[in-house]
Amino acid sequence: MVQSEYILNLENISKAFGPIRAVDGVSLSVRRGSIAGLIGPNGSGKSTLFNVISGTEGKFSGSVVFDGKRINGMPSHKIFALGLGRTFQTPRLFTGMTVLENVMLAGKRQEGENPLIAPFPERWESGEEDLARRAQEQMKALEISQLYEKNSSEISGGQMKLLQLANVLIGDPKMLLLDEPTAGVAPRLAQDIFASIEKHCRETGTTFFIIEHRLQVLFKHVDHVFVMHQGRIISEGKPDEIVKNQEVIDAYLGE
Amino acid sequence: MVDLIDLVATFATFYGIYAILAISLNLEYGYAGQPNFGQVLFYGIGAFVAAIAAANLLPLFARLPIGNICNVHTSFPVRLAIGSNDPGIAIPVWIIGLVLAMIAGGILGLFLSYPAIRVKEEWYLSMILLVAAEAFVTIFQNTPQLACGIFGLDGIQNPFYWVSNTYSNSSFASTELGFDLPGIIYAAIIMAFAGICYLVAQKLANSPYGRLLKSVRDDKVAAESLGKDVAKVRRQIMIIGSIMAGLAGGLYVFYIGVAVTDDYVPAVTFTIWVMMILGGYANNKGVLAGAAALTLLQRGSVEVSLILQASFPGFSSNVLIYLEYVAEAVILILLLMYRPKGLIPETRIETKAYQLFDFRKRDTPDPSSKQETQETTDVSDSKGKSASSNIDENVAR
Amino acid sequence: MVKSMTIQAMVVFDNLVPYWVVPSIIISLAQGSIYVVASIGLTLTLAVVKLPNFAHAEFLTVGAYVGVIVSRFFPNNLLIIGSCAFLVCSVAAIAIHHIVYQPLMNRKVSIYFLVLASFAVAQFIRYVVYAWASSGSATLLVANQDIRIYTVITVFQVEISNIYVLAIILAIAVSVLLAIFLNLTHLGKSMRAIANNADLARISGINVSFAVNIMWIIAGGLGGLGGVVLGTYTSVTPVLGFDALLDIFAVVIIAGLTSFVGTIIGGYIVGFSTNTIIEALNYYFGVPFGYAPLLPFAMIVVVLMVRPTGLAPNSQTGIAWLRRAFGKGVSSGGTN
Repeated sequence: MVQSEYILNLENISKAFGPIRAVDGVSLSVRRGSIAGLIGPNGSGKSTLFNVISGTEGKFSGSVVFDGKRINGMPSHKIFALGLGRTFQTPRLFTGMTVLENVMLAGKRQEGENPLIAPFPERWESGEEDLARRAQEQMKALEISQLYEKNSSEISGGQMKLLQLANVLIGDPKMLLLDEPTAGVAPRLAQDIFASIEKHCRETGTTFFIIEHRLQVLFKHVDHVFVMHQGRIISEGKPDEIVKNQEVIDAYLGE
Repeated sequence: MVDLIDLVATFATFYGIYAILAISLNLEYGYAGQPNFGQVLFYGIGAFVAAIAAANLLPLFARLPIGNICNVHTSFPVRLAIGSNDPGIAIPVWIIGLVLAMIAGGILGLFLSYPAIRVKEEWYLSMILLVAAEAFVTIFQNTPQLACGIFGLDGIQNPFYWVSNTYSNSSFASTELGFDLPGIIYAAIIMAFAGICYLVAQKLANSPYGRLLKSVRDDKVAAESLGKDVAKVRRQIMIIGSIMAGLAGGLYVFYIGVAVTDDYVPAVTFTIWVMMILGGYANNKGVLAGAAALTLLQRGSVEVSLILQASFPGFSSNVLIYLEYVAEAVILILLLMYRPKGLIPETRIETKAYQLFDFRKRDTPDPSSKQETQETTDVSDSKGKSASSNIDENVAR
Repeated sequence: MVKSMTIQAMVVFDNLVPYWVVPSIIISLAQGSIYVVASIGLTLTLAVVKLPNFAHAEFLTVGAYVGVIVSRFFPNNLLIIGSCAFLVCSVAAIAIHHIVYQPLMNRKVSIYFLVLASFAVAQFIRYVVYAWASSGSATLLVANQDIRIYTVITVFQVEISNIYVLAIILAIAVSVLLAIFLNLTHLGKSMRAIANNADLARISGINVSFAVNIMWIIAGGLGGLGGVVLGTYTSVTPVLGFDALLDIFAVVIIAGLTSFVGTIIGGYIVGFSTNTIIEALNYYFGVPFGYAPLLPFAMIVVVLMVRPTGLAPNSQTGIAWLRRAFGKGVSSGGTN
């Protein structure tokens, strides 16, 4: 199969909450293996757009094509299985589980997730060890491996952000939607997180699509930026083009 | 001495059955977060299905007419006689009864998981299951064709009753045995079943499946977004839990001898919940402990009130039993307030994965101190490497 | 001439309408009225403190037993009996709130734990009543209130007892008084504000804890009153309330959980379904009377699954409808 240049194609996506059109006819395409940014003032519909793409928002109009497949109306677990992962603005962790268990959860093809196989450890233990090894690498890369035994509700807010990143990365997504990966994190740290995102992207070819309010950091690492305002994409282009765009400046200042 | 043996056997019987129910509820609520406020329904359906199966199969296997299973003059003595004397019939019928009880529980669990997954607010599910349990009682009480209505289906003999006949007929039984040998055997068997259920629950919990269950409990949306089919998991665990509860019902009805709706009222569900919360949800060992404590309380109050009634003729034997229910309610309220995690709190999911990390822990002196030192080091030049320590530092400010 | 026509009309009526219809409608109305009185407190609880209080039905039991005791000293004095039941149950309600529910809510426990706690409270009350009722020299496990029941009027050869009339009048009085309270008094309005958004109400200077206490007084007290009326036409037992628990929940669930108008409609829906409708099902299809509880059960399940906002129109649309019907005359109504 010939892979198309774009991994994600959105066509005319609209989503209304009662009279409010949160997303209003959005069409965009994200290039495979790139890091794309999605910026815009608060309430411009960015998170709603992510929810629509990842299947957590319910009914909407328009079409979402991911990696050559139409994924409209698919339950979000199937979308993840196709290779499209996401994180949430406020980390949604499994607070009754340890950090390691959180990370390992999303591992794909875990035989032990079948209740008929789970009681026989010899059937899934080798897979579990491989997964644990990968989880360990992932956690080391994000510097959270020493927390493995801690309950995920007992770690700091920044560590929660990193843990959430590790959660999705373990599922080997082809593309990741990150909803403000550095919100509530100190500026220096935002740098680190973006650096590791870029490293991951260049090493594995994973596509990233990132909502971010920290434009300086974002612009340093992304290849392409989409600007959203009042539910519409008002501009897109390379970071340096966006900075000069009068419409974008107006949208932000007019807030 | 003989009394004590029988007392222990009775305790073991009730403990085994309660333990199975508590383990089942713990899988459903403790691990998977499904608030089953209608657990007695699955327990009851198991009991009734097993009783109906026994009442029909005992005469059938003995090549006798089945007739009206509710007739106390014809059908009742016939099945009692077959069940008491013929192990070749009693035991297969018992096994079939248990299997059918499990199947019935499982099917009902599957059936009720559909509304369970559909409802919006969390407590609606509790309401629906509670209603289902009450509807079950209403239907069985008012439909005598099912299982003899309010009188219940009587005459279900302990499948090991023949042992006492065999023993008294054997050459070394010079005297009357004095204690209830079939009862002791059956108690041991119930305990064995409880042990199996415990092992199954432990194996399920300490596996990737246990992770899956807990993730569904903690955050359904997040689990779904990480590729987990939440609806499927919720359906599976309802089926697994209901199979266990159905088994408990089947085991119980062959012990108590009669399937009657009075035994399957919401107070039983409540007791099971107290056991689980007392022991510690999402901890099978804790749940076993909780079941032991509550069984002791219940059997204790029954035995003590029997003694008191024998000593003081005016004593109403029910008062202590009522007060025991009051005690359960007080225990639960105190637990919810002061120790919601129970006696033995939830632990981590023990799989081989931890070995990898625990092994490294032994290498490095102390992970917590290491973490602390990292937090205080200057990380300005280690970009991307010490992300977490950086975050710690900055969030702390 | 006129007299013979009346007789003729009655004969035609008797032929057209089966014998059970009129009495069952009257019983439905009376029982529906009791459900309204017994359920409004639960609706308030759900609206104001967002608690599905499974112990609510126990107020009925307590109220009925208070009726049993007090009526021994003041036989037939409905005012004193009712006041005592109201008082005891409102004190109990406030006590339960402060001893159990409030501390748990302060700890921000999950809704399941609150539901469990309310189950525990229910079981506590029920079995304390059991133990108390069975401990005396003369057992009170099946007791009766000392209230005379007599026929007030006869309609179509059906004797209507004072209890039925009382139940209907009480339901109307309670509904009207509560509507006035919620819509016209400062306290009632603040209660509605808390129901809409407790945090906002707190910020805007409403004394939330005071309003919540008043809410419990009303909820518990009306539960007790409902118990007295229920206890007059059935025997009083420790499970009087518990047996009505799911019916009461059916009423508030049909009402969409928090609607005041809906509760009144829901009360009569459940009243009719457990009397007239089951009579009809029995008469035409041979459905046993014992299945009567299944109707409210089915309503609970269906409503929760299909339309959790309730079958009855919610108060907003209710107001809109009233406005359309009566022009601008009606300016406020409903709880939300």
